Amino acid sequence: MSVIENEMEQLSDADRAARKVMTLMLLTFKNFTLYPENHTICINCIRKLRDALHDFFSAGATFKCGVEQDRLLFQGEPLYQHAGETPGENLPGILYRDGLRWITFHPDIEVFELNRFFNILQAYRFLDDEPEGDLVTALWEADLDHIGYDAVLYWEVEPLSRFPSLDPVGQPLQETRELMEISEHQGPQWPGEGSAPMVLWQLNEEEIDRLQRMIAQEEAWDATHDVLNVLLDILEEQHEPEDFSVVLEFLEEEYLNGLGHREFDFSARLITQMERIRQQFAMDHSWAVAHLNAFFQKISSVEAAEAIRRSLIADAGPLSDASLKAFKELLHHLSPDMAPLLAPMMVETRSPKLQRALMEGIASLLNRNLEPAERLLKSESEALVRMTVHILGYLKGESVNRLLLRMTRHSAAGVRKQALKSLIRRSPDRVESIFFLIDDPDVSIRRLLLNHLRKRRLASAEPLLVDYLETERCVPHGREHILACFSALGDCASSSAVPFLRETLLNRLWSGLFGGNHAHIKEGAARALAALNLEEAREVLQTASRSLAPHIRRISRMVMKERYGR
Amino acid sequence: MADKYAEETGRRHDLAAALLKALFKLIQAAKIHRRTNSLILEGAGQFRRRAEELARTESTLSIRFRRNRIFVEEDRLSFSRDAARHMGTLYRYFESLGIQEFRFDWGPYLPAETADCDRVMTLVRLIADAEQNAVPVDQVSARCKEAALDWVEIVPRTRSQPVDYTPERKERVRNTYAYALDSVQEVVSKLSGQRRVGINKTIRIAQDMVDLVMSDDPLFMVLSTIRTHDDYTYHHSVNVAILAMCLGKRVNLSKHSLERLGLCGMLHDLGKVEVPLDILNKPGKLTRDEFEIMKRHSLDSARLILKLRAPRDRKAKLLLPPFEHHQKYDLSGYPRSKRKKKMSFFGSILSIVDVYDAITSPRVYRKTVMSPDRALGIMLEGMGSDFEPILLKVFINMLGVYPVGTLLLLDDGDMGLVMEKPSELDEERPWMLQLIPDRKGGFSRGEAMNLSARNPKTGDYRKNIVNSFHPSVFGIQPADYLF
Ligand SMILES: [Fe+2]
Ligand SMILES: [Fe+2]
Repeated sequence: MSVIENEMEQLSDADRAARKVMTLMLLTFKNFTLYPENHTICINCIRKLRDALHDFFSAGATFKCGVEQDRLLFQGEPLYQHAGETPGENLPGILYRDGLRWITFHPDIEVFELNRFFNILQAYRFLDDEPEGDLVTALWEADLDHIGYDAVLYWEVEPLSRFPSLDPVGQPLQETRELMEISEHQGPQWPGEGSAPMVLWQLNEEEIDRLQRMIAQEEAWDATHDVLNVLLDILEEQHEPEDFSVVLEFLEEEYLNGLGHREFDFSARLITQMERIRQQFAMDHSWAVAHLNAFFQKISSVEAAEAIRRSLIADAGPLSDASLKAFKELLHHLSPDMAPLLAPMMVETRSPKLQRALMEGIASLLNRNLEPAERLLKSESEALVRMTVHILGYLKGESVNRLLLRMTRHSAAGVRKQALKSLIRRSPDRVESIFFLIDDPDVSIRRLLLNHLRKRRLASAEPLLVDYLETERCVPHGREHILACFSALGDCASSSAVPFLRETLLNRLWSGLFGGNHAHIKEGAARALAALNLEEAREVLQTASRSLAPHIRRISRMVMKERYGR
Repeated sequence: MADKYAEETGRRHDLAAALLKALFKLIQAAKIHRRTNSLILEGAGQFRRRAEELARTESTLSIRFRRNRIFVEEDRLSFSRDAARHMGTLYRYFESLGIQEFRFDWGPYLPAETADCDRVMTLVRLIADAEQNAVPVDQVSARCKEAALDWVEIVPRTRSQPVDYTPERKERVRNTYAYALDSVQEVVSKLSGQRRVGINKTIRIAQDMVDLVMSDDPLFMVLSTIRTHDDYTYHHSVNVAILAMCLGKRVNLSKHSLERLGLCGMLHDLGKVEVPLDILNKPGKLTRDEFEIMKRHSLDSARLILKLRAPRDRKAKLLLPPFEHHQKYDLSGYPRSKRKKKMSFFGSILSIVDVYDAITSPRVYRKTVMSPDRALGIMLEGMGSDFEPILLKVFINMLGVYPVGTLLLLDDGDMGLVMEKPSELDEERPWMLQLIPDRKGGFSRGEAMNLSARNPKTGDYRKNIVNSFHPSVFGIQPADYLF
């Protein structure tokens, strides 16, 4: 048996249990520096520590750990001595630094309490010169039922051995009798002696009720709007650029916080109020305008978008109708610069309501300034570009048309199609600029265009279609496309197309088909003629129905029968 | 820190009160009933059961009567208004017998026969005899021992009761004040050095103060009477924090709210750092321009809070009350705001305690200083306009007709300082620490006097208050004597 084992043998149960707790405490501390708290290693470690503590409690009572600069003690005995140099790893050192002298774990301690404890240790492992809180304040605020501590104030203060001495305000007192003679009665005579029993100052039921309500309100801390009012009041009073920016900085933070917590009505109010202040200052404090402009730029930053994204998408709790309404309202107040930052959320969100709200909002932003749209249209995300194109479809202006036209040449079919749809909706009769899509590699785009041409029966489409067919550019797309083109021509054309159709039906062989099957070309021409519903077209068909070429004859007869019933 | 332990303590306090009630009832019943009466048997059983339960957690128990309060060990018992009426009778009974303390020592557990009906009734009879003056109260303990009643000791009251807090307790409270003062000073000096200031220490102190105020330590309130001619703003800030926290505790705010309230108090006049000293300390009335400058300080306090190095959320929660503290309840004060509709709860608290501390503070530029009780009288005129009426009521109720530290002059020529407001057991008059003038214009501590004490023959008060003063009128720092 080694010396150590021998020693262990001699330890009492309580000592052994205490050592185990200590070892696990140090291990947990270390693991929390290495892994996030939800990592299995941390979870297991905390559980083991809790179990070890429970073992300890069954042998003794509270686990009380003394803290020194480099040591942790149990019942006056050092159980751990820190050796390394790295301050962030020195558990006793970290505890000691903020004034902790004892830590106690009480029976029935729970895992969540230990978790919180080690999280706090992590958060305050390192402190800077002017720290925002420390270990002890954090433990105090956490208010954990089964973890106690005793802390001293770790910095030196001149002790108040005596309270400050006071020179008499009146005259120095010689004798008590003088007191009797000083009969200065300032102010109203306070009831004092007997006449006003304290019962007078007891609250009645109604007052107790009102008091309770006031307290509940204060404890729930529902004062963000009041804080905003104060901040604005302060801002209006500032005449030094430096002070002015201190307040602005805080307003920025408040704004971002509002966004992060879905307090969109607050954020919207902040913006409108700030706009008012900008106008106000523009008149007599021109120096402030640059600061205010910078403010507006900052609240339209990536950070702001990130805050919105966090609260709406990452934090995907259901969005109430009221919040959604407030969010929509807020969107109208944002800077157009926010559009490219918000737009990706349209793609990210799974809520159709939110998507719609975002689209409407972005539309109103782009309506004020189209420039950010350019950036969006260059995005790598096809979905994003497509949605942007969709939004653009609802905006007015020639520059929007130009953008949409540009998008009809986008590499992604979805985008081209969306652009085409938008263009068709905006100016259904302007076909020249979109006609080239008749050759789009995507069949649905070609179909979309042709259907549009057919539906609108546009005269302007006639020469375009005739030219397209005559030059045989339609050939590579195959039979169906060719038929569709003829059919569209039939719907839009006038008598001027008849010569071309006649030629196609009766005589012409298309060179592009290399002597292949011309049946569908003839059929297309025949059908187009039938659709024209003109006497001269009918004549052509009649001629064709007597053609010596059997396939021309057959097709013409079939079409005539369909069209004219015989 | 740990609510569970507070709960246990609370249970123990309840049991101790019940034990005392059982004893009192038995004494009354023994006057009219025989020993075999069922009321007596039942009462003795009740007493024993309470004792058994108490013995289970702690082998000893001390119940003390002091200055109209009942203490279990070091803790003062508090009672609801109804219970207080009953306990008041009980207190006065034991007090009139000259009993200062019951000390019980049951050992680790209490066997039934040790506190059987016979023994309990022996104790009851001895106390009843003391009431009839058949046995002097200082002999009761010895008689108990003779009767094999070894688990109780009755400590008679000594004639005078000096102020009796443990030195550790005094030092802790005193230290808190020193630290609070220092932290306010530090924030101010760093701020005037244009640096971003952390308020870590201030928060630590505020939490420390919350722990004190939660423990209902009467010494804590005494701290708020500290007055000084120099560093007025620092002392004022700490005093406001203390008074605000006491008022907050009075209306049962949570400890987190009390912490925030304390911080608001300590920081409420931060803006004065930007008021030129010659205006701040100007004797006499300020000119209109000077007053305009002075009026900026509450808005500036809020602005300077923004500059502190603390999390945004914390700062946001500290802004409002300092901004509001001069706006008055009806918002007729300053700064004027076009946006505000209502003063916050904490703002209302601050504006009450701020005015109270200000008008009861001697200032170099003021010839007279108002006694605390008159100050309350003046503030009463602002009820509903300057001050939130409910909170003002609670504040007055908290301080009592004669607030702690008020200098009283009695009809027999005695003078002294109010030590504590009258307890809920005896809402009449406070206790006073007698001050005895020395030849050099100073004072020494005399005895603690109960101003509610009456002459048993006439039923009149033994002593009457003829006048009250602010202690600083005579250069008296109440804390020097009350600590
Ligand atoms: Fe003030
Ligand atoms: Fe003040």
